Amino acid sequence: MNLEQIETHDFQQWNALADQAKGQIETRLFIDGGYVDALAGGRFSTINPANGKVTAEMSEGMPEDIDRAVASAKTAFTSGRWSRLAPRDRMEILYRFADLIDEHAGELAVLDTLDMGKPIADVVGIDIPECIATIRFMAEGIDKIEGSVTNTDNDSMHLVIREPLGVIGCISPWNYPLLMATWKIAPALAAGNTVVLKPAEQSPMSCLRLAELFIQAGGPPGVFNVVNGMGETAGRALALHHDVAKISFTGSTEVGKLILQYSGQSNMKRVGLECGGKSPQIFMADLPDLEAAVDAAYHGVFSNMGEVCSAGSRLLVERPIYDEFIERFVTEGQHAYTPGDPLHPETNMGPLIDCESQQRVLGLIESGKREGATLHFGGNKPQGLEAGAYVNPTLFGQVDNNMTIARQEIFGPVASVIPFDGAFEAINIANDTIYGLAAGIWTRDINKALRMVKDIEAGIVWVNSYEDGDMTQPFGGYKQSGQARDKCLESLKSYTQSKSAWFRLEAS
Amino acid sequence: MRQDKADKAMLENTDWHKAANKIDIEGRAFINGQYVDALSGEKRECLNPANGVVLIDVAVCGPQDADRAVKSARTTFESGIWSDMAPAVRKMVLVRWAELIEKHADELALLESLDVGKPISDTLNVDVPAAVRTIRWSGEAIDKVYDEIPPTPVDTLALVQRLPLGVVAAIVPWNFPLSTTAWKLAPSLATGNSVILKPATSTPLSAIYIARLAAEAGLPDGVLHVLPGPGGNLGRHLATHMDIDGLTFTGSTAVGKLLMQYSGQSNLKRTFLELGGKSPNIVFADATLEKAAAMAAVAVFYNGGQTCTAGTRLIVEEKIKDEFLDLVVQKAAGWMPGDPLNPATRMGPLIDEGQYRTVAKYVSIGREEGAELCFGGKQLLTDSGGYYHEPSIFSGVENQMRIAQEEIFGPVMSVLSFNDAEQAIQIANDSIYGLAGAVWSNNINTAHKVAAAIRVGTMGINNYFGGDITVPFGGFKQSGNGRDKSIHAFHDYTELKTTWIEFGD
Repeated sequence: MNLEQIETHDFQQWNALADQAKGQIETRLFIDGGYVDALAGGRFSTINPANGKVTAEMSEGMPEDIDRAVASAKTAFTSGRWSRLAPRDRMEILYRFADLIDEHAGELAVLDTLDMGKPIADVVGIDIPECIATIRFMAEGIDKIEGSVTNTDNDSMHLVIREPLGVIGCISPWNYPLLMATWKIAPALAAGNTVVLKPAEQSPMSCLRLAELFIQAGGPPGVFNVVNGMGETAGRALALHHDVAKISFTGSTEVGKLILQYSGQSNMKRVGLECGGKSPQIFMADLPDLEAAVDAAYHGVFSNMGEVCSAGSRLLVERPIYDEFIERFVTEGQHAYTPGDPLHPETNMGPLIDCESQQRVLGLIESGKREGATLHFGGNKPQGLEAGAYVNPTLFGQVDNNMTIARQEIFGPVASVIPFDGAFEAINIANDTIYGLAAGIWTRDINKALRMVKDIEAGIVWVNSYEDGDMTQPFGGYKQSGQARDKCLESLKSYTQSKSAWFRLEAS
Repeated sequence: MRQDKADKAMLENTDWHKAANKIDIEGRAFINGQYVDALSGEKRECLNPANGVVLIDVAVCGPQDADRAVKSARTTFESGIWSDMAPAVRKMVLVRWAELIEKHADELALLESLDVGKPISDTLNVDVPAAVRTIRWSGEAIDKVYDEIPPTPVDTLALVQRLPLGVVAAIVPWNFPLSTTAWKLAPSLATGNSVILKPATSTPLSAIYIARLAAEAGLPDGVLHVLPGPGGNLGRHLATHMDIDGLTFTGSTAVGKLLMQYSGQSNLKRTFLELGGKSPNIVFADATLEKAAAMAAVAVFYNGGQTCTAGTRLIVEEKIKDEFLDLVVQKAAGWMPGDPLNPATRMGPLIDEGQYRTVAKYVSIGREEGAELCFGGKQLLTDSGGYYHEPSIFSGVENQMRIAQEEIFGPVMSVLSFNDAEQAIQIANDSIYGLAGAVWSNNINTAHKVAAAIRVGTMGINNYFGGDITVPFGGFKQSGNGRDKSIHAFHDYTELKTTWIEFGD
C-alpha cells in the first residue's frame, strides 16, 4: 500500500494491515544482501507498548554478527561496486529506493507503530514522507558537492579531492525508527560509503525492510546491512570495531559519551552524535500572536508523546503575559492531545516506549510536585488504558530552572513553565543547561530577535515558530546535545573526507 | 559527448520514416500556457533539411507578440507565483518536467532529427538525454544552493543572497536547439525568473514541444513563453526591450556583439553570450594516437561540424604529422553523410543551402590560400533535396590562413603542425576565439602545463567533447562571456543583494 492509498485508511483497515504485518514479520538480520540468523541463535522480544504484548521474537545480533556485517560492508566498499559508481548511477538507485519506500508505506508504517506506539497518522503524515524527502535530497546532493582546486604558481597543481570514508556504523533510536535511521543512511550511502545499521532494540522491525528494499532498488549486496541487537553488545561492538570509519549515533547523551570513549579505545573513528535536549522556548511579552505561541508551546512538547530530542520542554514566559499564557495553555492544550490506540488514524498520542519509561516519567512528575511546581493538568496515567505504557499530557507552572523537571530530560509529555523578567534573564535561564539542541524565541522586536538568536546556545533556533524547517536546515546541537548535523548538504559532506594532491610539474 | 544508455534495440528496430509520417507537429507559439498563432497571423514554412520537404507552418512572432509575452512574464514574476514558490516545490516541477521529457523521448528525438537534420542516433542517445539531465540536475540544485552570511562585527548581520533577475529572454541557435533550450531554461527557471524563449527561425519545433510538458509538470501559466520568429525583427525587439532584465544568447559572434550594443542602447539588461570558436585540438607524439585520431574526426565531423566547440584546428607535433594525418583520414572515411533517419548514419545534412554555400566558399578559400585538400571537399546526395557535404581535411595549414582563423561551421578540418609545446600554445592561443580545446599527451607535465596555458573555457586532456552537467561551459575572448551548465549557470540569471542589519539592545 503506497502513501496515497493509506492516507485515507480507517481504523479497521489499519488493524487489518497490522494483523497482516504481524503474520509476516521478518526477524532475522540482513547481511551481505540477504537475511541470516544470528550466529549464536539468540533472540529478544519486541513489545508493543500499547498493550504490553510481544509482537515478535527478533534475532539478536552479537559482536560476531557485527563482525560479519562489517566484513561484508568493507568488502563491498573496497570492491568499488558502490563507491565507484558514477554519481548519477548511485543517485538513480537511491531514488528508486525512495520510490519503493513510498510503495510499501503501509507496511512500514504499521511496523513502527507496533514497535514503539507512535500514532499511525504521524508515521503516515510525517515520518515516511520525511524519509522519502531525505533520501531524495541526499541523492540529489551527490553531484552537487565538490572538491577544490586552488591557485598555485605555474609549476604546481593542487587538488583537494573529496572521497567517502568507508564503512559507516549507524546507531539509530526508537523515537522515529525509520526516519532517524534514514537521516543517517541516506547521506552515508549517497556519499559512496557502505553501512552497518544497528537500530534501537525497542524498535527493530522496520529497518530490516529498508535493507531489503535497497536491494530491490538495485543496491549491491553488502552495501547496506542491518544488525538488530542490544546496545551494550552489538552497539558497543560496532563502536569498537577497527574497520568502521565513522559512527553516526542518535540517542542519549550518556551513551553518546560512551561512544566517544570507544572511538578512542579503538581506531579513532569519527563520531557524529545527536543526543538529548532540554530545549527552551522563550515567550517575550511583545510576541506577535499569543494564540500561535501557545499552540506551538504545547505541540512542541506533547507531539510524539514528548519523545523528541528537540522537544520544547522548558517554556520560559515573561511575567506580564504569564497568567494569560497559562490560562490559554490550560484551555487549548489540555485536550489537544488525547492518549489512545495508536493504530486509530485519529489518535494523536500513543503510549510511551515502554513501562520503564512510563515509570520514570511518572517519577519525574512526582519530583515536580515534591519540589513545589504547580500542577495544572495531567500528571498521571489515563484511565482505561492500563495495558499500555501511557502518561497523560502534563503541565507544570511556576517551575524554577533548578528543579529536577527543569534540568533532566524527561522524554515524555511534560511541560514546565518558568516565569522570567527581561531578555537577559531569559537567555541566562535558557543557556543554564548542559544541553543545547534547540530553542524557540517569540518576539516581534527585531533587535531582541536577532540578539537572542546570537546569544542562545543552541544548534537549531526558531523565531516565532517551532519545529519548522526544510531539508536545507542543519539539525543538531551545541554542548552536550552533540555536534553532528543531520539533513542539509553539510551532512552529506560529513560522510566524506578530503585528500590533498599536490603536483609538481616540470617544463616538458 | 557521453554516449548515454538509450535503448539500442529501439533505435535500430523502429521504422523512423513511418514514425515521421505519423508524427503530430505543433508549430504555434506558446504564450500564457497556451498554443497560439502570432497576432499578425503570419506563418512560415519549416523545412526538413534532409530533403527540403515542408514539415509544418510555424508562427512568425513579432514585436507585438513579444510585448504580450513580456507583460505576462513581468506579471507572473512580480506576483511571486513562481519566484516565491518554496525551493523544494519549484524543484519538483522541474524534476517532473524532466521526467515528462524522458517519457516522450522517442517522439522528441524524432522531431529534433526532422527539424535539424541531425542523425536519429544522436538525438536519441545524446540530445534528448542531455536535455533531461540538464533540467533535472538544475531542479535538484535549487535547494542545494546556500547563500552567504559573511563574518561581520558584533551587533550586525549581513545576508548576501542571489535573487532572480526578473524577466529573462533567451535566444537559442539552430545547431543544438533542444540542448541549448534546456541549457537556458533550466537555470533561468530554477532560479525563479519568468522566461521568454526565441528559438532559431529554422528550428523551433522542439522548444515548442517541451513548453507544453512544462505546463503539464506544474509550471504556472505565464512563466514560460516560446516565440518562434526572426532574429532581425523579433530578436532585436527583445534585445532592446526596456522591460527585460536579462538576455542570454547562443549564436554567432557577430550577432553577439550587436546584442551587447542593444543592451547599452536600452536598459543595460545583463547580457550573456555563447558564441563561436575555432578550437585547437593539439596532439603530441606521446599521445595514444589511435584514440586521438578517432576523436579528432569526431571533433570536426560530429553534427556536420555545426558545433561551436568543434576542434577545427588540428595541431599535430611535427614528428608524427604524416603518420597521424593518415590515421585521421582513415577515420574521416567513416563519416560520409547520409539519411539522418537511418540509425547507422553518423553525419546528416547541413542545415540549409546558405550554410552549404558558406562551407563551399571556405573550401575554395582554403585551396586558394595554398593548403592541401587531402580528403573530401565536395557536395554529395545532390538529388536529395538536402545539402550534404563530405567530411573534408586541409593539411599544411598555416595559422594566419582564413581557414585557420575564421569559423566555417561545417565539416572542414584544418591541420597545422608544431615543433614544441611553446609553439603549440602560441598557435592555439592565436585566435580571436577561446571556446574550447584539447591536448593529447601521456606525459603528466606536458598534459597539465599545455592545458593550463590555453585560454579557453573548456580544455580537454586526452578527450574531446568531454564534460557533463556539473561543469560550466562558455568562452574566453570573443567566444563570449557567461556560462551554461553547472551551478555557475545559476549566476547568469541572478544578482547579488546584500542586506546589512544593525541591531542593538
